[in-house]
Amino acid sequence: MKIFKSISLGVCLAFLPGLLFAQQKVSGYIYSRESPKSPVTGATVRLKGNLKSSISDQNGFFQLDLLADSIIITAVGYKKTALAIPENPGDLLTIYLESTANDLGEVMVSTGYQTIAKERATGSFYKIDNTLLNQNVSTDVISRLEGISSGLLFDRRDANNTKIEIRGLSTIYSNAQPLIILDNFPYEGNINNINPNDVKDITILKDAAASSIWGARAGNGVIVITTKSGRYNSELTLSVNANTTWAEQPRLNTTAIIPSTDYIDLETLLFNKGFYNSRISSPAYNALSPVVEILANKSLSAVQAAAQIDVMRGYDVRDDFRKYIYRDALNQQYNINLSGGIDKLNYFISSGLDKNRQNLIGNELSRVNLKSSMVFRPIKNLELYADVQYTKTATTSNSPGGYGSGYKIRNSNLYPYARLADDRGNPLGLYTLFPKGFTDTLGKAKLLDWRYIPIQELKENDNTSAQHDILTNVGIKYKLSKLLNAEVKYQYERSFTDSRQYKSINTFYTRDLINRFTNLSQNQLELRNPVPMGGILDLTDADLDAYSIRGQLNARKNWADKHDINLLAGTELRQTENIQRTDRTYGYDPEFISFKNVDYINSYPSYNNLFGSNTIPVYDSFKSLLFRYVSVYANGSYTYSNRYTISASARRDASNVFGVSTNDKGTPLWSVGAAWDLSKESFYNYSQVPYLKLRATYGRSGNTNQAVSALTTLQYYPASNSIVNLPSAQILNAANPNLKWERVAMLNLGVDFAAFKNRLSGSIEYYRKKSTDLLAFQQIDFTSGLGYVMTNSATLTGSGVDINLLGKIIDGGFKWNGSLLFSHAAYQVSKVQANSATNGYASDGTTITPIEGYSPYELVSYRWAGLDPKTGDPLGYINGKISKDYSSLINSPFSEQTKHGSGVPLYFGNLRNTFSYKNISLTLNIAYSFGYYFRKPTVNFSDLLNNGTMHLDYLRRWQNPGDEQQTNVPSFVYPSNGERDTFYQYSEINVLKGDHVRLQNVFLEYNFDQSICNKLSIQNLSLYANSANLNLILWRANNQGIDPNQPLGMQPGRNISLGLRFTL
Amino acid sequence: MKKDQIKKIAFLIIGLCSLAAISCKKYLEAKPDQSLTVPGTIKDLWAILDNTSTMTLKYPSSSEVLSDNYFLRDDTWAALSSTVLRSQYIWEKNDNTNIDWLSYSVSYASNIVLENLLKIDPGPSPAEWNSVKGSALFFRGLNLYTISQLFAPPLSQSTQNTPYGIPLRLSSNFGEKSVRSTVGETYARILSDFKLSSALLPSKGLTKTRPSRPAAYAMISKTYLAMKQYDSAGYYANKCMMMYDSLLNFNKDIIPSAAAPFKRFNREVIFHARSGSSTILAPARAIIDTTLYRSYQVNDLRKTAYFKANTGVNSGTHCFKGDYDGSGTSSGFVFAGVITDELYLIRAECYARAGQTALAMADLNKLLSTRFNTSFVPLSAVDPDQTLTIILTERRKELLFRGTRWTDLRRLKDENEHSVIPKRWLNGKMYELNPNSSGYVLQLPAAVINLSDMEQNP
Repeated sequence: MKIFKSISLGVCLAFLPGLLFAQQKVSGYIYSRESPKSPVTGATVRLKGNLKSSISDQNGFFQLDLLADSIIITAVGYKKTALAIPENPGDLLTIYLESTANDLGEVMVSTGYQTIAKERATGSFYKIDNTLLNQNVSTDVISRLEGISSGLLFDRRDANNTKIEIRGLSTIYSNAQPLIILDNFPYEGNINNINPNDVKDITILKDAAASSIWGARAGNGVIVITTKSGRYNSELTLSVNANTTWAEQPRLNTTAIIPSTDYIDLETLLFNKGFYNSRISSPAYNALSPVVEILANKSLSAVQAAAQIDVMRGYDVRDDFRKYIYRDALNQQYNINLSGGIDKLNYFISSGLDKNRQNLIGNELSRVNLKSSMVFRPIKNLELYADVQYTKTATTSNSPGGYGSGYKIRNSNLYPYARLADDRGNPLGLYTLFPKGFTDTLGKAKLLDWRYIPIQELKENDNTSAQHDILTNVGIKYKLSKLLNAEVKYQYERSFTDSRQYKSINTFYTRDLINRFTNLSQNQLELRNPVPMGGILDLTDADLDAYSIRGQLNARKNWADKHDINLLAGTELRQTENIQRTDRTYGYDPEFISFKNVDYINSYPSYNNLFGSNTIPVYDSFKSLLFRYVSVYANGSYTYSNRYTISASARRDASNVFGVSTNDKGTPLWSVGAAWDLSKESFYNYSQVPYLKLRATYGRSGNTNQAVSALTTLQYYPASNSIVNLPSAQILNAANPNLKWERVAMLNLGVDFAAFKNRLSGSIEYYRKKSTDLLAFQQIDFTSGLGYVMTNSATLTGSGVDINLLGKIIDGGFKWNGSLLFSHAAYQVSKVQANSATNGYASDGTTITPIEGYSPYELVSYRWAGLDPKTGDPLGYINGKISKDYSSLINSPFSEQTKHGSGVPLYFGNLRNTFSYKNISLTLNIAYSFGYYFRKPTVNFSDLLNNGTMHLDYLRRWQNPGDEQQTNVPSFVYPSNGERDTFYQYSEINVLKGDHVRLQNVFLEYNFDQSICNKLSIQNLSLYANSANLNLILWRANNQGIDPNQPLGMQPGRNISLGLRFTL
Repeated sequence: MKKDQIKKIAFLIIGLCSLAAISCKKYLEAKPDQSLTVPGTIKDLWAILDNTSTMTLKYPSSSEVLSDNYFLRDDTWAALSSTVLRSQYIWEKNDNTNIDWLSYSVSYASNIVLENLLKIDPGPSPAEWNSVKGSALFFRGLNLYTISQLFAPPLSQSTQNTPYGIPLRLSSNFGEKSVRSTVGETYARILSDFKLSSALLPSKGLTKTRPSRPAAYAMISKTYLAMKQYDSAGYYANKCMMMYDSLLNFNKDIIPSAAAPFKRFNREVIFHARSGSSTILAPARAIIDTTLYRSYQVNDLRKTAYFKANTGVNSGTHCFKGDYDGSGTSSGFVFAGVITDELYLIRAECYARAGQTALAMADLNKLLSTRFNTSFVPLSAVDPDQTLTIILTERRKELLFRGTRWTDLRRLKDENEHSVIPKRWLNGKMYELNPNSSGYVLQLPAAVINLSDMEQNP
């Protein structure tokens, strides 16, 4: 058959060309390689050497008269493909086109100004695609980057303020967060608004050549987020992604609370020493814990008192927190999107819903995202786009707070035997202002309840906030000639946040305020209750109004297949305006929406003069911030023979922040770079490494600080802040005519390679960084009236290495892909005008402190000489001699202190392994961090006595001679000595190595068979499971069981997500 | 694309760019924060001076902490969280005195005002301009005066030229290094600031937190008193009283038994200022010296107006409630302003020291008649010495928690017949502050010494 066919074809070709060719047709279907079920519509199929062509229809079908031996297929978004017509042209062809976007050799990276092929880039770009981002299930987009980005460090030591560093710190006191670009422009809104399901990819710009196009705000690196859009001539597809995340309660057992019985023993001891006497004798100014109140109650016999106290020994306040304050969190996320395109239009429409039930009962979040993105090509050479994103975020925060936040008994932390509810679950009150005995006598029932009742607070709180955010992008791009195109992009963002805090008369805040101002001797209502009976309503409106407009010319010329020039230049104008208004209404009644006026001017005596005389608090405030930036920039690259590339960029910024004189002093920020694709050289014949590229760049970017000014500035306060009701002003800024913008210079050297038949690929980069003119506090003798001033006085220098390796370790039926991210980032303060470290400096490495020659996060300690075996007193060194002179010890010169090292990891990264077999794949992401230290919390007896700050080390204190063999915790002495406690707390004995390895993320996915999908008439279907926190530490350097990520706080609970994804 | 097209585009771009450059400057002059301003008007300078949280409410409280008007129970002392307060209570050396030094921010604000005032044209009617200048000088003088009473030795023949005066910052330039002045220079600068201000200030300020001419005279008088130059002290006390000498009559103007009998800004107050709150002086801790309490007669209304009986473990003793801040001193404030009663006492003392017994006793009796109930019998004295003794006794009883006792202890310590050796009993041990003790002068803050290389007090 086959032989016959080839013979017949040969005969035809030889003898009857015209006739037979006219009758022969070639036909087939064109599909996309990446989604083999979706036909490619609108592809041009042309015969080689012939003008005849055909366009594929909506099923991807084409037909052509066969007049040549091969066809050429071109389609937008796909690589040009040439194909020889097979021997039997009558058979239907099935052709798969490679998408240009998906081409490994043609990774496109976005800088926010242009999209360039990574192959021709000189700078350091790290791109994260959608698939990888989806392996971290989260509501927000930024936390998805953890563990999958090179050179990016998440500093989570402060649970309420996660900091991100790209290649280490570049500034000291200015904004240290990377610049976030969303769809070409810096994103000014709330970063949590971005729906991660709409994100197509994220590129991290790490070196100067990549980021300096962003100029004065790029010093901390840039994160470029690109959202999804449609494609011309593509089928309508519908994708759905839904998942649910369940997270345990935070682990309250990891808090260092002192067991109730030991705490009660301590209170009894202190009571017997007379510690509470002055508090007991002046109940109007002090609160007492129940145990102290029982001990002080002379009407109770010793036996009665002991019996009452013994009951409390059995309570643990954490039980009540677990039951009444916390719950397991449940986050649901749904997303659906539609995309497609015809010849002149493509579109992407998406809708997302997030509903989060948070760990604290009463706290909830819901977010709705809508996005519509359209691109038109109405005439040749002209492209228009319009993109609208709407986000509504509604939050409810009615929780009175987690354990350890608030719940103060006057200035002291909550005692460990407190109860929030009785055995039957009825809410119990805490006597937070005065002792119970005193509170009960106040007002003889004419005052409101003066107790703080946490469970009632939770019920009564009515705190909601709704944010509406609209982000609009429109643009036009016109191809002026083959060489040149011009574009104008405009972005407008408007966001409104309405927050409402209604404190009904049943909340503690309102009851307390009304009570404080109650004057029972007055009969006139307004004088009897200057703060009216009724609720208090606080409303806050915050508006963000931001626009950016950019005009840009792009030129590209490629000639003789050797020269490739790429140029762009543009100018940009940006404005961000924040306006905020808060007002308070007293005596608010939501039922009749009525309220009462209050007198803010006159001062009223407090009830029984318990709090002196005061005016009624004013909460009204206004805020209006306006930031403007004007920039011009240019960028160009030239590639010769696909081998040598050089690039350069320059940018100049001006803003209204510092004052005009500072703008004038600004020098342009610039970068230069070069790349050499060694493997394309004719002399290169190292076949094991088929791809090898060398890169080098150098350049400067900047950093701004909106909090400083070159002039003496005053901050005005409203008249209500003053005791004389006059407007007043505070001197905010000392005049500093020498103020400049901070500058960050970076040198980057890199190698990109692929080896062993592309089984191993990756890049290795080395960089040096120098940040100069950094604003730093300069400590000044306070006689000047200023403790510190900010001057451009510091320099940070750093260097590091980023290594990314991708390996196909096993390739076959069973696949094992590994990815190794390794980063080394070391930096130190190389210049600072006045060292913060004077005598007695000790630190825990969590706050930035510039000390010349050390990391800004350096841990510094007092030297430790053990415990005095006779007394359990902590011992240190003065001039090399063992000493107990604590006031000298805590003032010992910096040179004599122990300098441990950095508080942030110097070496960190991830090892991600994906194992897949048939339809199932499992990814284990292991994170490691090395080369850093942390200060372990411990007991500070003075803080324990005065503020109730607890730590379990209290139980490990030295009590008898010989204990010094087992413990380093000093003995407890009374009166406590704050200097002795500070010495111990900040001594070197409490510093541990932070090095550890943890299982950070697990992702399991099951992709259903194509046959099943076909039956369901869907393109693909997968189920997945993910855990982003397992509290699973595989190895740690400290032997005390402390998680170095949470040395101070309690551990969060574990979480797990389950989800489903399909495409129609 | 043709060449002329390119030219057109190029012109357009150049045109747009130059247009942008022109409007750019104006665009970038917009104020980034509406609540911020660069001080440029009289209104701005008043706003700085009217900032009561810096200019009115943060003067040092150590003058009272070091005085003998109160004592602590041993357990109260042990329960104090601040080690510096524990040492100050027994006059032990401690160089952690930052809190007191912080009131130099008053000098800084004053200097900012004085420097920016020079850029403003006083115009044809310079009353406001003068008033701002006078106020700034007054505030700076007040700061230097309060600091000098804690950190510089009392002025005498022997200390006048010693280098232990306080640093006198006369400009806001933070780059200037602090140097100590001589004790003589310290007092000369304080006097010159107050005297200059007295010539510029109005007879009455808009509020009592703003300086006035009588307040300036009063401060000059207080400064001379601390310098033991009694003629001048009396002269300026008189000048102040010629302008303002109103007294509260405790029989009808206040309710002595009230929790806070004295309203803020009451009519005895010439100028209002006070310290920040002090834990050690809070009524829960500080017990009034029992001998002092007993020295008030039964018909003395101050006995009820100033004191409250303690309860609990402190019962049988009394705490102070007679402050002029209207708050009942729940937090332990020290008044740092000027009240007319002090002027009566200064003038009386100066008359007495000048031998003018009758005039002295007239002043004293006028004051006391407002303090006692109607059964008050005017006091009399036979000779100047007895007059002085009576006046100093009454001075002690009138001026509590005003910061004046410390200055009095310092200036009287070398006058044999009037000197007192303050004593404390703690944990069974007695502590004394002898006339030659270095405890009369506080140590400068260690941080200030480290950064400025100034010499520490002996």
